[in-house]
Amino acid sequence: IPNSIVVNPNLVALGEKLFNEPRMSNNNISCASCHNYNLAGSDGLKTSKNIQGGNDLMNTPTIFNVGLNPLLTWFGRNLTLEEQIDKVLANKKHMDGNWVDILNRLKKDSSYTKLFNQEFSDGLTRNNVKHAIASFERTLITPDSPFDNYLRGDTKAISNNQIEGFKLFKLYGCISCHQGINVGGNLHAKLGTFTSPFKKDNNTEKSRFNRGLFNLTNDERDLHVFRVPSLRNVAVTAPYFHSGAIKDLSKAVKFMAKYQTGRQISDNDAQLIADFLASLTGQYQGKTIISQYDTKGSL
Amino acid sequence: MNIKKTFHIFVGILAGATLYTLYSYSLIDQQQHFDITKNILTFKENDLILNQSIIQNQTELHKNFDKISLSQKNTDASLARLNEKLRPYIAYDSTLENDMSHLFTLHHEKNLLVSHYKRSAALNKFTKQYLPNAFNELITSINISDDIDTASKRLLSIKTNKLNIEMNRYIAGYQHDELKLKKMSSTIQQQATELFGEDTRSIMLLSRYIVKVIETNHQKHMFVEQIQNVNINEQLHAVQQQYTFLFNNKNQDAIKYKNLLFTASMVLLIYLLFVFTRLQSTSSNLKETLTDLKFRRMALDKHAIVSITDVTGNITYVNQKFCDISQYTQAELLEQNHRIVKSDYHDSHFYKEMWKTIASGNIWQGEICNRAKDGTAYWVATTLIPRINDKGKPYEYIGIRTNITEQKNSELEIKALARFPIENPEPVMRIDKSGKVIFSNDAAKILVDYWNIKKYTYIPDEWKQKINDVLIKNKTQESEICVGAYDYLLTFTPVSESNYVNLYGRDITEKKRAEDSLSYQANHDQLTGLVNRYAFERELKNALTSATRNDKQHILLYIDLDQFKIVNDTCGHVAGDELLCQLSNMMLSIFRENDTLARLGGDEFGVLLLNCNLEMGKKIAKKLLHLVNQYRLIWNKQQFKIGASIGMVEINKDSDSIVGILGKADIACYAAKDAGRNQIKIYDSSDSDSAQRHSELQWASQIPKALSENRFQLMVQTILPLNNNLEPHYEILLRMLDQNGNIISPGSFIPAAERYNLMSAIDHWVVVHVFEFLNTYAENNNHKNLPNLAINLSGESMGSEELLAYIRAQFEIGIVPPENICFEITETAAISNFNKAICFINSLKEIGCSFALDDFGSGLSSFSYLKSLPVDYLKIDGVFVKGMIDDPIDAAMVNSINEVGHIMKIKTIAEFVENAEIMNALTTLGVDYAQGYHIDKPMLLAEKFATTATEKIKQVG
Repeated sequence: IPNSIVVNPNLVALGEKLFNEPRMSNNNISCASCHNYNLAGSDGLKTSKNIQGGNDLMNTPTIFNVGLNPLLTWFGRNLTLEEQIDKVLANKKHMDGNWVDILNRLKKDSSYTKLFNQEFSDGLTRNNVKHAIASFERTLITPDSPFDNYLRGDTKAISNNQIEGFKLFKLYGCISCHQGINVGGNLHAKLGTFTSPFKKDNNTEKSRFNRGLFNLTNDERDLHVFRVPSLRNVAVTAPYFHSGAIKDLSKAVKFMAKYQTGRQISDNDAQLIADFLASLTGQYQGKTIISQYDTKGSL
Repeated sequence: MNIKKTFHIFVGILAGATLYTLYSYSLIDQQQHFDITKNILTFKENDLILNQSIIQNQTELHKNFDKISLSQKNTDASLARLNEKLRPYIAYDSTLENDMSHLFTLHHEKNLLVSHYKRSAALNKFTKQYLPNAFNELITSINISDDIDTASKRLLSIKTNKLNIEMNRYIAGYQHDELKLKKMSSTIQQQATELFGEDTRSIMLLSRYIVKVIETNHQKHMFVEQIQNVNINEQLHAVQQQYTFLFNNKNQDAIKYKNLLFTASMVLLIYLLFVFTRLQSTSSNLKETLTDLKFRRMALDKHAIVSITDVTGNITYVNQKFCDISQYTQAELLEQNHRIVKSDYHDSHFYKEMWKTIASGNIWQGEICNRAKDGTAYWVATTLIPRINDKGKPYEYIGIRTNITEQKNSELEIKALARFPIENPEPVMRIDKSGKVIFSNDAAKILVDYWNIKKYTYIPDEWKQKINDVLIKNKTQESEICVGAYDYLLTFTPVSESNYVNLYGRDITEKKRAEDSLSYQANHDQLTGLVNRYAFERELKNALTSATRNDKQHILLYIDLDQFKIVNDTCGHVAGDELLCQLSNMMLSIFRENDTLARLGGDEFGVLLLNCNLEMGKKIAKKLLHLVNQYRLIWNKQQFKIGASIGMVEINKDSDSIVGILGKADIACYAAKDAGRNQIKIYDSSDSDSAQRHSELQWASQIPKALSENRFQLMVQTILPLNNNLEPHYEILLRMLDQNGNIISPGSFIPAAERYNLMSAIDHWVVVHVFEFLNTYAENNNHKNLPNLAINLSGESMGSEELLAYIRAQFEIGIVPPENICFEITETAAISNFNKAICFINSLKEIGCSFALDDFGSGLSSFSYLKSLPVDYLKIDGVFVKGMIDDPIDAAMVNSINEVGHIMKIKTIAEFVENAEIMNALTTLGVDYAQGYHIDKPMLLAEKFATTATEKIKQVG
């Protein structure tokens, strides 16, 4: 993971302003309302709050390192960040905004028109707003995790337990999917390789979400297929899975082992792997990411 | 104009747009072409990299999917970019659109396959990796199992190992018989199950993994194969070909458009040339128009006072005439408000109205009084024209004026003049031909009321006729009209060209009264109220005219009262007057209406009986005589009886003149007196001789005759200077000769001449003959020693212009010097004609004549008159001189007159110097001259100056 990326600081600042801009939705919520990048880039809730204040049925994924993810959302859409911003804004449950209203609201603020005119030849437009936000999002990276430092040769960067956990991570084949720069996030996988964790599909909304990628492709092969999430900062982004069903990381590890590798692993192994995963927690602007989710002894 | 302008702009825009369109079409965006080509290549390259990374992943050169994912993202991006770049072509070419959409489908398909590949590859990798552990676990679990025999264990172990080897070979790609592997796996599973029972997890796990490995391996390869089969390259090639085709087409089009552009440019150029030429001609027209306009403006400037102001009245332009009249310079006026020339003549309402008019865009016309720099007012007839902008609002005002100060002043003057008839205190009217009143002033109200008319109504008919008459004759006429107590003189002045008559009234009430009284006084005797001599003579003249012309017969009675003198002498004038009055009234009662009774003087009366024969006359005369005889005047208890002598004469066609008639009547009257009084005598020519001697009338009739026959002689008497420094003068005296050559003294004929107004004729004769004498004398004596002559003039003569003219003419001849002539006038004559006398004296004194005041002391003798009469000599009345030796009062008179004369620088002359005693006394008193029998007796002028004057004086001395 790169320590820094080359960006236009003015554009990023504008993006950050927009990221925190409640006028982007029609009910006073901003991107940062759910993706709190001062903490772990998420909301710490089991499932997200929807715009009406009710509970959504999917967990909010962290915004950190999103720029390094080829696939976005739990379903693993092959989208650019800009495209994803469009989707979130238009979603009735999320931002419920339409561009005409959003642009009108922004244009009333002379500071925006001024900033946009500085950055873009065509001023305040839909594409430029998306571009600014995406540019900001790409800066939300968390380099310098202990594991990164370990890989760079700092053998003291992680504890023995963590080294042990890493070995188990490889041994049990976790690494087959959770691989690459973001330790995941670049492929799909079926939840339940050998046995399905899902109960009978009773066609409730929850069940429909459990269908995963199938919802998008209608392809039998995509039933219960989800994106393999990145494991960076996983220790601070509980609760876990698309439904936020599991709050404890070692339990999540055990859950993964059971359904993905078809094997029971010991609590000790699970804990070691969880320890290892904690070494993937990086830093944002020089500060280690901290969780907003209060789980006792989860770290 | 506006439509035309809009049209031109439209055409211009159209031409511009056409040129631009052609230009843009003619351009070939090389950059775009380059980008597209580059993007095709990039996409191709990225796709190749993707393929490459998949192969690399498959052969496990890469352990993670980052590169594949990155390649996928890159292909996504480069395809999106390519699509973006090709959009202009896709928009109008369906083939390319289809090709591209097919390319997208293929790409999507490939992405899906890659995604599936990744899933399979991940599972394959994970199962494969764990497979050795699974074998180990199984073998370990076999080995540690106590329940089964060693042989079975060994067999199972061998089989397991064999499977392990086979699996390794499979994974390595040397073993392809998947069925065999599955069979081996299921055999092992079966045997293991037999040995360890159902719940052996390790064998279950292993067999599951083996199945998964084989399955995913299979899938992996299948996906790779399918990925390879997705022929993106070929489709991309199709896109590229189509694009190239389109690009070439466009290129060719561009050339066409270039040609078109060239043609259009040429057309435009030709059009511009045409426009330019037309503009040239327009501009020359414009120049002409401009010259014309300049000329017109010059003409306007020469004629009118022009200024231009903005909407607030600030001056932006003034011409020279404006400067001339306002006396400001152009620099002083520009930027100034027009108020600078405002006068106080008009009120604010006037200006308010003016501004209201022009601000609403209307033209204002009127006359304004302005004020020049030096404060003098001037009048201008002004036209203010607002200039309107596109919005219909005025933005400046042009003022054109002409100087009408003179007209205005004369207009005011005319207005004032026009008030003359209105203000006239006398009636003024204007009446048209039909008798209608067109104009009447206030003073005419009295006439208007009298005639009971109004303006524009008709005057009474009798006056209408007058109007007509006046217009026809075209001559001013006058009429008198009596309106109540007032008399008016109406002057009708015809204005024939306008066919009306101006009527000027004049209140002549006072004059009329004065006139009436004057004429009464002039014609009547003040005492008796009877007609006086003057009026009577007029009546007589009328009667004579009617008698001679119309053969009428009239009678004249001449009445002289007898014994009247007794009444006067015994009872005084008052009684005499009373008698005359009473008798007059009585006499009047007996005459007919047409008869005239007149008092001719003293106790003499005349009666004119018109249309009366002798018989009738006798009757009336008798009646009259009887009446007078009957009359008694009672005065102071005394009775007076009087009688009358009546002369009667017939007036008929043979009568000669009034004088003759009166003379005859007078003679008849004398005859009656001679015959013993209280009688009536009819004139008889035989009676005339006896009476002739006694009558002044006789002289009066003799004088004109004597004048014409030159029966007058000029005498001369020396006026001797008592002071030796002075020269002697000679007073001219006159005597008349009767028909028999007898000398008649002036005392006899002068009173008659005065009474019958013959003095001026006598004076004229004297003057003429004196000058004749002097002229002859001057000729004979070589113009030397001309005597100083004094000529007597009567008061009547001093009013005679003819005489004055004659005298002046004589002096102008130059023979007689005016210094040699002195005129003697009596105090009475000078004063009775005072003004004329002063004029006469002054005009002759001016030339050099001198004047002497005659008989001073006996008449009015007023020194105050003397003061105002510019005379040179005072002649002291002989009465005082004669008595000065015996009477001290006379001596004092002579002395005081002499003294006053000297004080006034007037020389004094004493008359009637009859002896040496008187002469000595005069010399002692210092009187300047002396005249009288003691010095010289009057002698004929011709004889006197037959010898020289000096000799004569010596003889006297």
